[in-house]
Amino acid sequence: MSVGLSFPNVAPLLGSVLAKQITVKPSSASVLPPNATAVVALYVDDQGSPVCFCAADLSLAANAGAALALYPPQAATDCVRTAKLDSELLENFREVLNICARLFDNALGQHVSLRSVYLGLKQMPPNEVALFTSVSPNCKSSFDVSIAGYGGGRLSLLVAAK
Amino acid sequence: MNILIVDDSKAMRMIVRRTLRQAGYEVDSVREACNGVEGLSAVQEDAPDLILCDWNMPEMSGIDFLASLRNSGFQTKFGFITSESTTEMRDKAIEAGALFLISKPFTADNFQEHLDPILGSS
Repeated sequence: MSVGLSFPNVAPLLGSVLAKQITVKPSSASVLPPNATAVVALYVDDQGSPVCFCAADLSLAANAGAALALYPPQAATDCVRTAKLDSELLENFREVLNICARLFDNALGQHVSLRSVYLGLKQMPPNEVALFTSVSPNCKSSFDVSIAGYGGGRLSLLVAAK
Repeated sequence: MNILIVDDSKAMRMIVRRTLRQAGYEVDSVREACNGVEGLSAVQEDAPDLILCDWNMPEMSGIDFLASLRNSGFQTKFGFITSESTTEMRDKAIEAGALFLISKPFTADNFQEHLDPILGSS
């Protein structure tokens, strides 16, 4: 858990997006690196400069993507079992990540918007990977997220520039 | 009442449909478009009573779509449903001719708050 950042709205925001009860517990472990099946979102400020990242493990991405569109939980379970994120669940989860920009708006007091979503660091441009991996520990917050009726997973919020 | 939902997320279009139902609106027809270009084409084909539109979309953003509509003479009622929530964005939306901006995530109550004055109580 970060000592420099506070994200008190993770559970309420995800609860509103997914219309499900959400349980969130701070975690000392982060999603990446190395985890090739994680989903990483990049957010930029109004000038287009990279500011922060949101990373979710495959399980959270699959379950949140399924819950958003009311797909059966089995759709997420199948993704986790095969370690492959279904394209529709990824598209759904992208919308969750889009709305997660609000978490950073609140924590940083500045407006950010979703620029890109990557399925693992291998898809990311090298300069963004460098930025992602250089985020200092006190600018990272991780949470274990549970979605009622579905599974859950880990979410990490990282601020590269503050 | 005919409504056009414009959003690049298929899941979000479905959620907007669902929330309209939850808010109690009786809708005759709901059409969907996934960006401003498709939205403009849908309006030209058959103008809806209300457009519910995302802000950030590929091809043509919501604000550009609204500007194109007004420039083309369409005065269709228009509201944004978007993750954008800053005062600047709200001001820009209203200035361009939008009637409201609902921030994601939203509830049926949010819809009623903004749509009742336009469509009448649900």
